[in-house]
Amino acid sequence: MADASNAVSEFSSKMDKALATVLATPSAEDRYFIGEALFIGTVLFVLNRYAGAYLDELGIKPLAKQHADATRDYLAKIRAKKIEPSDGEAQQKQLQLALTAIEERGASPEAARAAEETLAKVLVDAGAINAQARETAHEVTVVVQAIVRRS
Amino acid sequence: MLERPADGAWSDALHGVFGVSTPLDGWNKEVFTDGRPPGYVFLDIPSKHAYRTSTLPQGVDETAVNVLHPAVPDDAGKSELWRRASEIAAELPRRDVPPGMRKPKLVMQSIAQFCTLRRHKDSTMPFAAAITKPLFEGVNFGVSTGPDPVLRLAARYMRFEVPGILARHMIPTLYETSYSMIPGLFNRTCPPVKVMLLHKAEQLSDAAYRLWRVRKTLNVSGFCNATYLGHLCAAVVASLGSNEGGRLERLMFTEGERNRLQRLRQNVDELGTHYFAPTFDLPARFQPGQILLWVRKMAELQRETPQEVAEQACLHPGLARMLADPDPRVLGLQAGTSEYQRFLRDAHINYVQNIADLPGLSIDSALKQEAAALRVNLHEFVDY
Repeated sequence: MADASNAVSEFSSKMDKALATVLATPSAEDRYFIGEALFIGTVLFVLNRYAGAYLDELGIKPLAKQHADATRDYLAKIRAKKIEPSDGEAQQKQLQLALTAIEERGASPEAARAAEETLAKVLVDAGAINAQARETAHEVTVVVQAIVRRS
Repeated sequence: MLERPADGAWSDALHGVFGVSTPLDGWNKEVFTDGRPPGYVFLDIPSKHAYRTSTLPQGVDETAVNVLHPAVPDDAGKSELWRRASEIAAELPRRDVPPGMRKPKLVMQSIAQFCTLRRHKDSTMPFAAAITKPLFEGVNFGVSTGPDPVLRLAARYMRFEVPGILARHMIPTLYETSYSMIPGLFNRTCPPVKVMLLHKAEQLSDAAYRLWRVRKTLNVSGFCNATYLGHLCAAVVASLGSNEGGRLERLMFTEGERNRLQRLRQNVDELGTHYFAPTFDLPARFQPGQILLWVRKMAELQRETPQEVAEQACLHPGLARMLADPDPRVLGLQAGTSEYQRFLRDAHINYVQNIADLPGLSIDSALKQEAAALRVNLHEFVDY
C-alpha cells in the first residue's frame, strides 16, 4: 500500500527552506527560523493540496472535496502557529486516503499535470517564485509516482 | 582556529559580528553607530546557533534583552580576511590562472577601492556616482542586444570590480531611472514604472532560484559563479521589494502588487540566507580537508549528522560526499603532524577527482544565461 509517511519523508528532503518559510510565516516581514513541526506542516500542506487536485482530475469528487475542506484552513493555522499534533495526524490520514485512492485508480499523467498546475498556482499565490512553484510541484509528482509505483 | 576549526570558526563569527560586546545566551539587541536600525539576534551559544529578526517576537520582554554595540569596521583592509586574501593573491601568480581571469593583483586592487565602504545604502551613493556614467556608454535601449548598463554592472560585480553591497542598490536605481526617464526623452509611451519593476522582480527571482538549483551539477568554479550571480539576483529583488521611505506607495503599487513584491523579497532573502550567503564562508577560511574536520566537529557538537551540517554550510557536493566515510580517527588529528598533512593532501586529491567530470559555468556563460533577466529590456515595454 502507498505509504503517506514515506511520501512525507521523501518530499521533506526536497522542500526548500525558503519556500517553507514563506508558507509558514503570516507576514512577508517575518524572518525567523521555522522548527521541525512547522516545516512538516508545510510539507503536508503541499502534498495534500497536490493530492486534492489530483483526485479532482481523476473524477473522485467526494474525496477531492473532503481534501479541499481538510486543507482549506490548514495553511492559515500553520501561519498562526496554532497547529497541534492532532492536526498533523489528520493531514497525514487525509494524505493516506488520497494515495490509496490514486493507487487503486492507477496513476494518471493528465491528473499529475493538472495537479502540478493547481499546486503551482497555490504556491505562487502564497509567495513562491514562479520557477520554484513549478519545480516544487514537479518534485511532488516524482515523489507521489515513486510511492504509488513502489507499493 | 586551524587546530580546532569548529571552536575557532564560532569564536571568529561571534567576535567578527559582535566585536568587544559580550553576547549572552537568549535575546540580544544590536545597536549600531552607522545609522542602521537596531536588530535582534537570538543566541544559543552552547549549541552554536543564532538567528536574526528585525523585531522581537511577541511575549519577549525588551527590558530583559542584552544590549550589544557591535564594532562597525571602518576599513575592511584591516581585517583578518583581507590579510589572508592578500597572502593567497601573492601566491597565485606562481601557479596557472585559468584563461579569462584577471591577475590576482588587479582583483585585489579593485576590491581595495571599496575597503572603506560601509554596509548601509546611503554610504554607497558616492561610490555609485563615480561609476554610473560609463555604464550607459553606447547603450541603445531600443534593441535587445548590445551594451546594457545592468549587464555591465553585473559583469563588473562578477569580476570583483564592484562589491555586492553597491551593485544590489545600484541595479534597482538603474532600472527605475531607465524606465521612468528614457521613454519620455524619445516621446514614447510605456506602462507605469511599477509594471516593469514587478516584471524584473519576477525574472530575477526566477534567475536566483535557477542558479541555486543548477549549481550542484557544476564543478567548483561553476558552483561559485552560479552562487555569486544568484546572490546578486536575490539581493536586487530584495532591494526592489524595499518600502524604505514609502517607495512602493510612491510608485503606486497596489496592495496586491506590494504583497507579491514583498513575498518575493522574503523568499529570495531566505534563499540568500540558507543557500547563498554561507557558501563562501568555510572555503574563505579553510582548505578542503579542514572544512571536513570543521563539519565533523560541528556535527558532533550540534548532535546532527555531518551531512546535515554540510548542507547548512552549503558545501559543494563533491566535498560533502567525502563525509560519507565515517572514519572516527579524523577528529583526533592534530594540526602540524604528518598525519594531518597527509589527510589534507588526500582530501584535496579526492575533491579534485570528485569534480573532474563536472561541467563548468564561466562568468561570461552565467551572465549570458541570465542576460534576459538582468538586462533593462526597455524595448519590451515601450510603445513604438
